[in-house]
Amino acid sequence: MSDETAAPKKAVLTPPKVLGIFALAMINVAAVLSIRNFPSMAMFGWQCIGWYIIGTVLFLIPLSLAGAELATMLSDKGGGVYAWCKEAFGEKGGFIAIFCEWSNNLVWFPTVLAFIASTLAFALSPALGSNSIYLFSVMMIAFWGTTAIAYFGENVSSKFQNYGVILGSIIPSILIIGLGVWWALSGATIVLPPFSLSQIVPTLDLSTLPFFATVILLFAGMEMAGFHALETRNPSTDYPKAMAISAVIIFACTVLATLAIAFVIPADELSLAAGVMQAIEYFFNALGIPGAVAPMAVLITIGGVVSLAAWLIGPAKGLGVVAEEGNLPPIFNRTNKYGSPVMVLFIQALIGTFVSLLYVFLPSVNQAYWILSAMTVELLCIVYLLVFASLIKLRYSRPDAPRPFKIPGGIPGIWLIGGMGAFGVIFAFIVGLMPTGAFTAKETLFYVIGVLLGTFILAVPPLIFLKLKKPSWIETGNKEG
Amino acid sequence: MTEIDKETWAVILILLLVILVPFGALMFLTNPEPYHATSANLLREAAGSAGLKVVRDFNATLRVAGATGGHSYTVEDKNGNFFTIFTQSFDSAESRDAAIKAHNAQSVGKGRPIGELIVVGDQLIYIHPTSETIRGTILPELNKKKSGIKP
Repeated sequence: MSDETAAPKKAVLTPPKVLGIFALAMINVAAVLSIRNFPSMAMFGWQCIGWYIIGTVLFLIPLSLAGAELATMLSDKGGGVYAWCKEAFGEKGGFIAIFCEWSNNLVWFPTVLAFIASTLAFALSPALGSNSIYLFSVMMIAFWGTTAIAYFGENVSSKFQNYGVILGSIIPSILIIGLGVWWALSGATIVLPPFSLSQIVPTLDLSTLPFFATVILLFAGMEMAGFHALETRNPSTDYPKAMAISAVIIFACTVLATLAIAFVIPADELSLAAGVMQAIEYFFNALGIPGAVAPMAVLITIGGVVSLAAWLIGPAKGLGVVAEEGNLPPIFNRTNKYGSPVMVLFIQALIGTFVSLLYVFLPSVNQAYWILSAMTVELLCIVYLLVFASLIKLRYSRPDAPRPFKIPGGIPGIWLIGGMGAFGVIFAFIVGLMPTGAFTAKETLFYVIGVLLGTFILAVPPLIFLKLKKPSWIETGNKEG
Repeated sequence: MTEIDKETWAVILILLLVILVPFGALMFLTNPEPYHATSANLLREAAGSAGLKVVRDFNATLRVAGATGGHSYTVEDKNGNFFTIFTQSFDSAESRDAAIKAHNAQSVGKGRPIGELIVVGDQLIYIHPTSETIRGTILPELNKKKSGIKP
């Protein structure tokens, strides 16, 4: 149960209710649907269907249903996963969940920012991709620009995401799918072997196990709309519909666009064209429309920016609620007139800038990156394990609470859905510890200890902060004019 | 302006320590792979030493800055399984490292990039995700190449 003694002091400003079904769905689509996944997954040929099914059954469906039930049940509480996990496990559980979601971003930001910069370079001049000054400049423009959009509140950021996700994720996906269909219908050679059911079964062995964690978290971000509960017009009816719409768009675009690429580009060439834009260039050249490469690079860059925006704004809003409830010092509890947690956004941007600086200017970060990216996976697994555990626990601790959307099947149903999700993320956590990089035995030990230690260090601060917490922190948080 | 008490300073310090120290330490402690010229047949030689047979090899150069040429190899193990390995040489440590970062930026979802990237001197060796079962066979040979050639 939640800790009633630490009930939040109500915000002076009530956030405007600006979000409807479409806007909520687009927040999730922005967070999850990414063109950069397609060529990498297309390397698996027909097997990509099997991998996507694993990710869908063990993660996308459970998380969508869990998000719909928890968001509608707790629609009067801000903070997304923080509110859900706090309701089930108290402040410690909620704080750890939101802190893990926030801190894993700090590892991920440099890579998505580098993706944005290198994709844009493809539209301007590919040679820029190896220029550190160019990379860092574009990364910072994207990062601070997105932070500025978040500053202007839900109304501005949701419009940005609505238009951005259509331009940068949905339109490019539909274009790739359409061109794949045209390729197939035009009688051109489909490079995949003839379809058979046995071809979609993924190869599961020791070498592909680490990939399992990647597949499970392929759809991470479906909880993102939950951070915007207080700005939603009719949460009890809009959330389930938004979850369903976003899940269908994400699944359909991802599977069909991946297959379209796999139809046209041989697996060998895909491995050669490791980058998204190299694959897109090959794809458009094969289709006889090389002039479409640069515009597509611009669209995919926009898609990268809206994905960044979704992950930058959601967890920061959650941490803002933590600060508002007095679990962080008042200095973190600064909300502007647009309802944005300005101090959390500012601190996040400063830390992200520092980490990006290291990422771009340190010589070779290959092995360090593998450890950091493994920590991202582990931290996310902790978040989602807490979400699925909250889903199950609240059916016992709050059985009579109104649930406008309720996962069917009663207690067995909740155990089935929550259990599948929990199984997926626990398994992903374990296999996420297995190194796939070029490590010696000594380095492997260093890797596993490093990942576990790093994950622990990035997950545990909330427990220290709650120890340091003072009653005055609730009272002295202030608002900007 | 709110007065900053010692607990607030403690929270700020912890935030800085827990986030910046691991990042900084990891990035400074791991050594960059030295850049040096390697044999154009590096992979073919390593495959031969590992008992793998190269059955197909075609030239392939990535359209990225500093890429000077590479190969796409299809190799066969003793059990008749086929694997794809791709190599790419670079004209400088900077262009090689930029390519590593570009590869790392191609992560799937919030996870990691697919496939494995091995750095040997001026070459990047990419092992296709469905070919990772031969990692244990060819990796020791590639590591010998790393230690055998000084910058």
